[in-house]
Amino acid sequence: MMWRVLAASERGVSHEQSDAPCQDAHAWIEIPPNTVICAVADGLGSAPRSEEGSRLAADTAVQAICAALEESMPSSEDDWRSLLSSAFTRTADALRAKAAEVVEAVEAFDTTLIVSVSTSDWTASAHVGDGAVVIWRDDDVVETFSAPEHNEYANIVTPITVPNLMNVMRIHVEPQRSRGLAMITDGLQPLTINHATDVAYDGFFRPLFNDLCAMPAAATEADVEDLRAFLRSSRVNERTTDDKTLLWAVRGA
Amino acid sequence: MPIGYESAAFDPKNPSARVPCVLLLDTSGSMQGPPIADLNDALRRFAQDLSEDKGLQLSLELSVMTFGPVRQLSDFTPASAFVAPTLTADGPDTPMGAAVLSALEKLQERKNFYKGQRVSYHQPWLVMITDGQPTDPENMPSAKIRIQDLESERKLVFIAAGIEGADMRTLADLSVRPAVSAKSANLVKLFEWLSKSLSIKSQSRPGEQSPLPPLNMGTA
Repeated sequence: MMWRVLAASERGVSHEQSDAPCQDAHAWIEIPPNTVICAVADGLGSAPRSEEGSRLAADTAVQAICAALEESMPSSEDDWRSLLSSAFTRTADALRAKAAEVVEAVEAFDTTLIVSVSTSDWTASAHVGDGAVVIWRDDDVVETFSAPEHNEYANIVTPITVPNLMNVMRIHVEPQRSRGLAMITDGLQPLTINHATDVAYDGFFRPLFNDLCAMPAAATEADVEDLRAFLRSSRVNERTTDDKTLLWAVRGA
Repeated sequence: MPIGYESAAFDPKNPSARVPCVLLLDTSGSMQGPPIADLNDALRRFAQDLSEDKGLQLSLELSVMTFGPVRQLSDFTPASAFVAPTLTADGPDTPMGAAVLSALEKLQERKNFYKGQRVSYHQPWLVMITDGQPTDPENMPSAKIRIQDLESERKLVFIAAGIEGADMRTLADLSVRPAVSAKSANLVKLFEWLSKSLSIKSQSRPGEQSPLPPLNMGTA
């Protein structure tokens, strides 16, 4: 496989204390030979079934994009925008259908969603809410590709099921490939993305990109366990109490 | 070769999101004796709790104000540096309306400060504890309107607690949330609930707010 992907979602200290589940989720699919689709989602703490919402959102979005790409590869920025918009609409519809099926308000499943797609010619992302996408460019620059949403209050975030989804989703498309992409949920924001400037912290992302690139083969279960241990470590938990997801993908040599 | 997580560094310039909170405490003469002693005791226990709460040490900033006269005893201080004041109850009157308006102003100033520093923050909290009734009724309508506007926009959490002898009808009228009726000896419980509530940072969609945990001290 061309892409090396490593990802984990771990429960934050605050959810351990309140015995709440991890409300973050992630998903990814590789389409050989060159394409990888990745998603991270953060279920809102105030939504009682948000762990189901984030799971469903990440899976639905990745599958919808995969199906669309297998049908035809976009050849313009507009094509990408319409593909990503319709994948997000389908994802929001899936959450509404789920809510209707179990006779709940859709707000019960509220979740953020970020999806990234990396092909041999394009890098694209679609994003509702907070969290971020960081790109590792071919010229070795590491920088924010899609920045977190900013609201006056840190605990206010826009979920994918809002009625004006098309106005609040942010899409970024570039007609060039990337060496790698990293995605985080807001639990890792205080550690890795500067709040004032949205700048990705190079000292965090660069070593991770380099190390994953240097791995001789695809990530194993043991590699995922190491990542989970890092996300649970006191070094991380001293800086954040929220659930946290880290997913990063690099092109293999 | 495994991933070298130990060499992945964190942004040292990123402060965690702040929660500004004003404790607005009645120090009028009627608080003399057990009420003020109980309040001082509860504040000491609160400070002790904060010294053990890593989450709140990262986020909470406290300012203590007293009335009357209306005074800011201490400006916003991180919870990690919070020292419980020892209050004396010798105020001549209970200017509750002016005290609320002044506290709201301090919270607004603090928000402006965060904005200037580009520090993220949560909704401000105003926690008032009193045993009396306002001696400035002329200020109460505007205090009430300010609280209701801010609460309805989810820009404030206002908690009014009345201890022995408090005019609970006034507090219930002032507050959007049920006013808390407590024995001064039980104020420790109120602060325990406050610590728990201030720790809740669950995310909500715009215009909504996470519910607070139940407070079992009775309501007015």
